[in-house]
Amino acid sequence: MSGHERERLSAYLDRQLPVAERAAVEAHLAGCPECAAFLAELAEVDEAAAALPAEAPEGYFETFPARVRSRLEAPKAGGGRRVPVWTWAAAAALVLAVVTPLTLRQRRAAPGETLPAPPVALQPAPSMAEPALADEARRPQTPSPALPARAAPAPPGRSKSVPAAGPAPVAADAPAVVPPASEVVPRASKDEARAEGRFAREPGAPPPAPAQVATAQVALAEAESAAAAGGPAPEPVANREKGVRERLRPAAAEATAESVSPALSAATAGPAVGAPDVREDEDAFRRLEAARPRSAVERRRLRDDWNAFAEAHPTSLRADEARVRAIVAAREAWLAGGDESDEDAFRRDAAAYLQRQDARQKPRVERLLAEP
Amino acid sequence: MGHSARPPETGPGPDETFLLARAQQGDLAAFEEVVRRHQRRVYGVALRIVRAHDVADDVAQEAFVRAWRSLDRFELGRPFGPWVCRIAANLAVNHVRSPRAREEGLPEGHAETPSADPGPLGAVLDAEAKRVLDEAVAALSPEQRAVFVLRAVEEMSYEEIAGALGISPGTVMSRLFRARERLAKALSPYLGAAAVRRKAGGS
Repeated sequence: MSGHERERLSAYLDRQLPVAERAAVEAHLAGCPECAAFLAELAEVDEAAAALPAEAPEGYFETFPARVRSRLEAPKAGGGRRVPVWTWAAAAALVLAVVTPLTLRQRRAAPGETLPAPPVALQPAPSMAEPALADEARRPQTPSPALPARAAPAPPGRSKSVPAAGPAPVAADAPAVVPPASEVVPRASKDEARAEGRFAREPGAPPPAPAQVATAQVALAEAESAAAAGGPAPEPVANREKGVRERLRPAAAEATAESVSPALSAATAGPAVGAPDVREDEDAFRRLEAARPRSAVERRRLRDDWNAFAEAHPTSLRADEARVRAIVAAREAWLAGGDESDEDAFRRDAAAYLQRQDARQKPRVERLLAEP
Repeated sequence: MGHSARPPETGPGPDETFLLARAQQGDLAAFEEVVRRHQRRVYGVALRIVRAHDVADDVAQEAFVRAWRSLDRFELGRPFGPWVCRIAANLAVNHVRSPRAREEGLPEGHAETPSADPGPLGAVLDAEAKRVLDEAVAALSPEQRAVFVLRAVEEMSYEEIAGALGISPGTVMSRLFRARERLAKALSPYLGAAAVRRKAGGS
C-alpha cells in the first residue's frame, strides 16, 4: 500500500474520510491483512499515547486557579498583559518533565469537564494568534461538518479507535444517510478483532467471525482485568462507558443533577439581594470619579478599579455607572496606548454590559462601540 | 460577593454555562472556578507539547488569561474545554517553534532504538513500551507532536486542530499520519510482543 493510502488509513481511523473514500478503504482492508494490522497499530499508538501521564508537581493544581486569578486582578492588568510570557528560566528547566510511572487507564478528563463534542467555531488566542487564526475568528460560525465520532448519540464505548458500527459523521460532502453498520464494518480485520474484544458486550456489535476474534476476546478480557488490578473483567469497560456517557451529558444537565456550592450560588446570585448599600460605596465612587488618568496604564488601572467597584457593590445604584465608566476607561486606554488587549478589554466589557438585564445605559455604550 | 469557600476541583458545581455567563460579566470568582475545572486538561495539553513543566505552566496560565480576555467572543453553551485547549495548543506550538526555544534546545527528543529483546513478559514490558513511546513522542517535531496530541489525547476533529494551529485540515491529516507512522514504528516491537503476551495470557 502506498504512503498516500496509508495516510488515508490514518484519516479513516479518525472518521475524517468522505463516505466514498471510506468505502474504498474498507474494501481494501477486507483483503489486506497487512493494512488491517497497520490500522490496528495506529489505533493502539493513539490509545497508548493518551494513557501517558502528563503530571504536574504535587500541589500544583491547588494553587493554579488562584495564580491565574491574581494575574487577572493585577493592577496593570486586564490580565498581566505585556509581561513577557516566556520569562522562564533556562536550559535547566527544559529537561523532559513528563514520564513518571504510568497507569494504563488514566484518561485525562476530570469529572466535571465537559466533552469537547460539538465542533466549535474557532476562537483562537487573540494576539499571539497567527494571521490564519485571525481569519478563522472572523469566519461566520458554521457548525463543522466533521463531527467527532464520540459525539454520536449512542456512543459505542471508546468508538474512536474503532471505526465500526454506529452513525459515522464524516467530512463535508458526506450524505446524511449512513450505511448500516453491517455494511461498513471492516470484517475480520485485526482492528475488528480488537474492537470485538473491547466491546463484546455491546448490543448491536457485529458478530465475531473468525477464531482469531475469539482469541482476541479472551486475551483482551484478561488484559482488561489485569488493568483493573484484579477487578472483574467487565468492569473497566463499563466504567469507561460510563465515563464517556458522563462526558457526553450536556452541560446543562449538570445544573439540575448536581448541587450548587453555597459559596458560588451566593456569588452568582447577583443583584436584587438585599437593599442597595447607599452610603458605604459613596466614598469609593467619588475617589474613582475624581481620578484623572493621564497615561494608558493609568486608564487601564482605572478601568479595573471601576470594575472592581461594580463587583464589590453589585447591588449599588452606582454599579451601573461604574460599569459604564470601566468601559469608557478601557476604551480610552486603548485609544491612548493602541494596545490591542485594551481593545479586547473594552469590547468585552461593553459586550458583557449590553447583555445585562439591569443595564440602564445601553445606548451610551452602543455609541462608544460605534465610535471610531 | 463572598467566595472564600472553594468547591473541590472534581466535585459537582454550578452549571458551567452559568459560570461562564458570570465570568463574561467580569466575575473573577466564577472564572476561577472554570479554571479549576479545566486546569488539568489545559496543563496536560501544554505539557505534552512543550514537554517541560515550567514552560507548560506559563502556557497554561497564559491560555486562561487570554481566554478571560477573549471571553466576550466565547459563545455561551459551547464547551469551554476545547476552546481553551486550542488556545493553549496554539501558544505551546508558537513557543516551541520560536527561535529562542530552538536555541535553548527544546525537546526535539532523543528517542532510543528499543532493544530487540523486549525483556520478560508482564508489567516490565508495558513500562518499557511506554518509555519508548514517550521518547518517540518527544522525538516528533513540535508541529507533529501538537497535531498528534490534539487528536490522540484531546480527540479534536481535524477542523478544530486546524483552527487551533493555523494550518489547513489537509496539513493536519498529513502531519498526523507522519506522527503516527513514526510512533507505530518505534512501538511496533512492543505491539507485537504485547500481542504474544495477550495470547499467552488468554489461553
